[in-house]
Amino acid sequence: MDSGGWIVYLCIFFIFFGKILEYTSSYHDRWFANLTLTPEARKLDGQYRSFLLERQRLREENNSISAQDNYARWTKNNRKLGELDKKLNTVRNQMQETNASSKKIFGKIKLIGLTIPFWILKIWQRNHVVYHFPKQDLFPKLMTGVWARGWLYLALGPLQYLRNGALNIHDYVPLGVSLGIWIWALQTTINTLEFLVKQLILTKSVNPPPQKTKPRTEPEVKNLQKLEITDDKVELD
Amino acid sequence: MDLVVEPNLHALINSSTHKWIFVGGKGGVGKTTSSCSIAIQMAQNQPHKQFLLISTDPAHNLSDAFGEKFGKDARRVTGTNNLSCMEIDPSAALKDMNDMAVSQANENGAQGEDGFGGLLQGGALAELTGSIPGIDEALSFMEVMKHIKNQEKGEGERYDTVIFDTAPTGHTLRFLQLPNTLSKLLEKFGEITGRLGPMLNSLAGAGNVDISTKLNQLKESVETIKDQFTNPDLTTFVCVCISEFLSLYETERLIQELISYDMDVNSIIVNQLLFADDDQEHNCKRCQARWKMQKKYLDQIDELYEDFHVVKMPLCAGEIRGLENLTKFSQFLNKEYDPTKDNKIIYELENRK
Repeated sequence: MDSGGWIVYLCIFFIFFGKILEYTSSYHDRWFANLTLTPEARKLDGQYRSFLLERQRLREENNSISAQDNYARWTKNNRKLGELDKKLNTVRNQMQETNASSKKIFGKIKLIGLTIPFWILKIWQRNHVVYHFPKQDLFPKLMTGVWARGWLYLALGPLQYLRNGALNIHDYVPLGVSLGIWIWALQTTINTLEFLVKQLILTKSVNPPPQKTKPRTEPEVKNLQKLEITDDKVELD
Repeated sequence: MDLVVEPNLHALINSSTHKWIFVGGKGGVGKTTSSCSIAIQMAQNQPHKQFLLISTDPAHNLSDAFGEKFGKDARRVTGTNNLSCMEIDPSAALKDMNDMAVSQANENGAQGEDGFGGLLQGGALAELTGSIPGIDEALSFMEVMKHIKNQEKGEGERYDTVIFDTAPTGHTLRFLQLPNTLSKLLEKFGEITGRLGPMLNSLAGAGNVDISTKLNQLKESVETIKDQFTNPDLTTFVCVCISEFLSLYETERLIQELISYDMDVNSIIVNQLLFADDDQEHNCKRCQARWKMQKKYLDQIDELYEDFHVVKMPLCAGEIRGLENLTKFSQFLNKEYDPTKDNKIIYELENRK
């Protein structure tokens, strides 16, 4: 790695910060709600929490009593639950409206502070060499070209071959891995690791359903044969 | 001062404003008996007005209840001057529509078996449309529209109040949803015809039908019905139930749905009550046990529907059929049943042959 180390560190920062935001996306609504510290938002949040608690209490109560023995109480609770659901829906919509402006601001900050700078860096420093190869013929010519110039080299390869009659990698000195390819390799590695962790650790295994019916066996067929009417004699109970 | 709600339907029976009265509930709770009783009481208490009882239940019971045959056209109940009945018959109505379509197709030049008329011969339209879900409700709705038009134009028999003996809850709710659904549908359709109106009219030009005018007329009728159905002075719903869990549960569901449609509902008829405490003469242990259970649910009804007219009707010893029995039974809607004084009437019905 040469003196342009700051470029690599900045890229690592962008990639990992983006991943952190991706992993925490389910908590963003709550964060925005906490960040939006207007009295109205706080009031709505309080209302929402109290309605949720009330609904939980009513549900528990209804589950603990017999509807047939306590019909009036059970029905009154159901009516209250119906009203609470309507109220919760209204408050939820109001909260979403309040949070929408915060989300919009956050989206803009993310775009200006993370996405656009990262893209600019990637385009501007795409040919910056992160690693140098010790030897010129360490990889085949085509691969060496891709490492140095990115995937565009692969697309333009046939054209260059037709023009020069061969692939010339001497144009790409110093030979090594460019920033574009290094970022692609890092992101692919992170995504693969993420997939493996999800599949092997976080996803619960699903057991095959228990076999309900036994396969028909020889003795059962024999029993069926026994049920056949063989004579006219009727036995009394 | 607390407002005491009477445990009878006296106010409704003597109401001079109500035009549409729906009677509904779970299957087998006595909807037909209750609707007949309301109709008879209204006819008796307001002799100067005309009443029509319509059955919208595909399994009609009005003919059985009155002991005489009613059909798709309104017919006066024998022994009354101001009460008529009719049973909406989807198959007969669709057959009529089919015949009309056949004659119209033939008039428009399609001759013989080869044309559109030939295609519809043998009731093809009736067979096709008869199997559409909700067709009974749609036809009942058409009947309501017909009556409103008759009243506006002053044509045909004019009825002051129409009482509906409805189908079980699910069908009835679908029927009552129709004005809202149609209104929304016509609104959307109106937007489309506004843009494509001339083209649609040219497509239907052969029959000289102005589609947008027809749609506007239909929309007006639907809006009128919607307004009338949500006006508590004009329309009310009477729930019928028995004092059992499932029936009460369905009644509650019905009431909540009706409230969500902005319909007036403030009366509940609880049928088939045993009143065994006051029937010591016939010491029936099973009746007493069953009455105990009924009382448990009656208490719950009183607690839940304290601002409703909850009418408690007795279980009679015989079938409540025929005008005479229905009249005797129906009096308890106007003035509540007193188990000690009115006990005899329960056994009087038994004697009818």
